[in-house]
Amino acid sequence: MSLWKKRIKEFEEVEYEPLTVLEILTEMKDLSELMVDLSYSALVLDSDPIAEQVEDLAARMDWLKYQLRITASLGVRTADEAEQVSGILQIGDASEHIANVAQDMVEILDANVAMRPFLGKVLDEADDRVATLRVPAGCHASGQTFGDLQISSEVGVRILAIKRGKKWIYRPGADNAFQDDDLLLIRGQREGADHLKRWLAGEEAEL
Amino acid sequence: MTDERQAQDVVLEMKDTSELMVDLAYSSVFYGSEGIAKEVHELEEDMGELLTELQRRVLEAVRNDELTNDHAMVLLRVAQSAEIIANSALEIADVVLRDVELHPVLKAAIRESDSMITKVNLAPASTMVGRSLRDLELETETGMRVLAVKRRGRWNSGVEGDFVLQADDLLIASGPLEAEEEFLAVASGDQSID
Repeated sequence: MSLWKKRIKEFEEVEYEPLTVLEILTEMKDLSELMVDLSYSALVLDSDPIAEQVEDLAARMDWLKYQLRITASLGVRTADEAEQVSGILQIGDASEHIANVAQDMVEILDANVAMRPFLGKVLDEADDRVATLRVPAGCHASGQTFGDLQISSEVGVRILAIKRGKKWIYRPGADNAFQDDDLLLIRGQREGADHLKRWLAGEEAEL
Repeated sequence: MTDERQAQDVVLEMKDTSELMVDLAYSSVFYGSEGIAKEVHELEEDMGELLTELQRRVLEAVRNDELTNDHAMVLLRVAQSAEIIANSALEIADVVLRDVELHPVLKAAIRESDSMITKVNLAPASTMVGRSLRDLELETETGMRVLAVKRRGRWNSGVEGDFVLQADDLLIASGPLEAEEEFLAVASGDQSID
């Protein structure tokens, strides 16, 4: 598939999702929590790859906010209904504020390059790190579920989210499986993350 | 550079507090819980205090030449961001607290949901006292997950397996509806678990 066609396909995956208000709000919750976590982590860990993901997630939040406005406004006929909808819109606006702040925070990294790392001492002591990890093409682990592999207990690394194409999967559970080219957002000790990376690359026989 | 170290500590505490606020704010909406929404309000007050503390520490550090102006600006910007996150969480929680009926979609979600969120004080007689979350295996045993623990007025969010519970801890936990009764009984000491 040409890159252009691939892009269109990914684009469509995002655009044509008829979501309910509840689905949108649920995703907004996941997204806000992830963005707050990542934005602080980007600053604490002085990490540009994490900052990039925050930018990406912000675009998703923006899209969700418009979906929420449209979907929530459908079928409003009376003043009472409008009042109830205003509560939902308030949640949507607040979620967007959170996303904007997360974005502002990671922009501090770009604006103050000479002073990095900002939180050097915290960085030195941080044993729990957030990192990005790419599942290589043709990975032996593709198709294996997190539940079967018991990643968390084996290597002490928690998978916060997966970016698959243009889609995000938040807080993946035991049923989720690795796929080639997945971008993983992980939290854990550096040794565990390094081990997982080598294992995905086929350089370690066991988790 | 002790003051800088302390300022950074305060930033980290603001991080934890704002993350907890976001989690609890949405949870208060999804579970229709005024009690949780009120906790978000309390946390906002903590945030205000943390912000003041940070500002003071940063100014002192600058005055003592322990922190450059530029570095101080960065810390203050981060702290300000944390405060905005806290305010946004408050806006979300206020949807539950204000005097307007919840949207039917939310009400239906709450009604149909088979899970809930609950607050409970850990009684000294509870079998959970003195044990770690890992040891208790609450999630496996009762289906309940502890989101946060308030101890002597301070919230501990993102509690991990090695967190040991103490008498008079205030726990916020979520889980299936049918698990609530047993969980509350165990926490109050009326019932014991292995």
